[in-house]
Amino acid sequence: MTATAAAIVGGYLALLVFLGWRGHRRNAPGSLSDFYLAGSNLGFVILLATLYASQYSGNTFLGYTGQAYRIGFAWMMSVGMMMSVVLVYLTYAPPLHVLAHRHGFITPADYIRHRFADSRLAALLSLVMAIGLLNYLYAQFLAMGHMAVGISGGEIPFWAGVVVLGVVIGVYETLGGLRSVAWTDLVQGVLLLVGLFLVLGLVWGRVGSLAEISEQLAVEAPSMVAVPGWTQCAGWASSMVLMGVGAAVYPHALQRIYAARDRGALQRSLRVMVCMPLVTTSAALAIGILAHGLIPGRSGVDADRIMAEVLAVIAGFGLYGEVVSVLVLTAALAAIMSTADSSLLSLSSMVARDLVGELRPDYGEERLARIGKWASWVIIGGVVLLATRPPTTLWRLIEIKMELLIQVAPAFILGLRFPELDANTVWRAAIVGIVLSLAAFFAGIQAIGGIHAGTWACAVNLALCGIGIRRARATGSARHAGGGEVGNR
Amino acid sequence: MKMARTSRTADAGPSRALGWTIVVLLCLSVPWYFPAGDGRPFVFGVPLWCVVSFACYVAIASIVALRLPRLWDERGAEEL
Repeated sequence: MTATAAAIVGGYLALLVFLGWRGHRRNAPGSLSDFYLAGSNLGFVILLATLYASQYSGNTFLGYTGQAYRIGFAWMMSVGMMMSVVLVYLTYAPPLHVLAHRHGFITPADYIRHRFADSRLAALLSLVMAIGLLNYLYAQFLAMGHMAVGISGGEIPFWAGVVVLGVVIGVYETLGGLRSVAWTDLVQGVLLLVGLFLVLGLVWGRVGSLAEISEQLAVEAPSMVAVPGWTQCAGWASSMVLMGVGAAVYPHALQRIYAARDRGALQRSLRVMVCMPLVTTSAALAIGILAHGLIPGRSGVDADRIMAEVLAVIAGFGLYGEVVSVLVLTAALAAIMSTADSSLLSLSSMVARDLVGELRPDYGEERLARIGKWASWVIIGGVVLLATRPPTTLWRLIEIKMELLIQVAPAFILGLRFPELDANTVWRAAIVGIVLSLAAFFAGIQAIGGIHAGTWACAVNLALCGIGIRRARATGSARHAGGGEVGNR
Repeated sequence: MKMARTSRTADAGPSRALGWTIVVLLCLSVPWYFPAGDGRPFVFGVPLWCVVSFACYVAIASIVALRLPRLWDERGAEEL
């Protein structure tokens, strides 16, 4: 590990801990709302930063560039996927934000309990969301270990990277809660954008012309520039639904809606957020395509390492190249850590509020906040252990995060719009959706007709909710008619 | 003047037309309607179908960024 790399990464990690300490000093002691939602007082800039850094993970750097390199221009679908997350926010965030402020929601289950008055439903949906979050956290910890190995040139072993970075996250997260996490997200979000554009500029400068690359691809790998076929188009549309709906109901995403200071801050943040895929995922797409001019001929799993190979080439440009390379790796690490800390904080809040808080209603907020902090360390310990050991078959369950998470969506999207939707209908529809997703997963069925199995399962889930709403309306109309009232709502 | 405009916007309620425009643009962003081909012509090195797709996303982002209050619907909160 060079001195430059050690200085940049060390400085970045020290800054995170400092921001954790600053957040700790600003927090009101013993308040769950203050710790997990920054007192529901996040203004435009910080809210935007934390929404952005949570939505765009290390996968944007590493996975998205690799996928663009592998499938070509059809990866434009990633712009649609990320934009659809913001569009789905618009379907439920306006009323949810009002309700959250009015009733003091902290976790997603608070809304479920308020809306459906059914603790059984709240427990089921919380479990599904916790599995999705654990998956996310586990994937980020694995990525952190790989990044530590990459940045140090193999001098830091994988397990040490996971442990050290996990501890750093634990320190600033348990010190200042969402306030610290949001401030670190500002740093991490800026690093992510700057890193992407540095790489894009350097690769474009070295390769020269995108037109030449495209002409070359049209001859050597025509599928990368050709119009996508029907199956790929179906997959494109399905990915927008799966990612848009699934990512929009991540618990940490829901909690950021709760944490917005007011309608104005939330609106301004979403106005900018909807534009971010145009610069973020498009930049990753361009890097992946242009990389063909720098490092041709990679395929399959090797394509996933294309960003690392591009950075190795950039590092050879001299001291400037080395600094840029380390900065970009630090930016990728930042993107990974920002997603991990958000997931961790959300899981911690669910343990404190929904598990311990429900079992022991006599516990005060201060005690629950303390339990939540300890829960964070226990979760970090468990995920570190898991990341440093090969997962067993049981843990294959956490591979299906979006397919499961999307089954929670009707409770929010339809639940906030249709007062007729009752708890029993949501319960039955969610169970059917979850069972169908699990059955498809264990049968090895990823997609039918290009559309993800999870999207099909969600369609059934939504249809069952729709039938329930129609029946409730019909029953309501009949009751009104029987009571001598005319018409229905 | 500004207050009068804000009040009129709030009174008008959320716009269904804008919502459906976004849905149509999302459908058009997936290039299912382009005839099968090798991706040519290219526009600055980008296949035309990809440029159209990107243009749809720019249009959606512009609608949301510029007309968000017309898409903002808090009505569910009143009844829950």
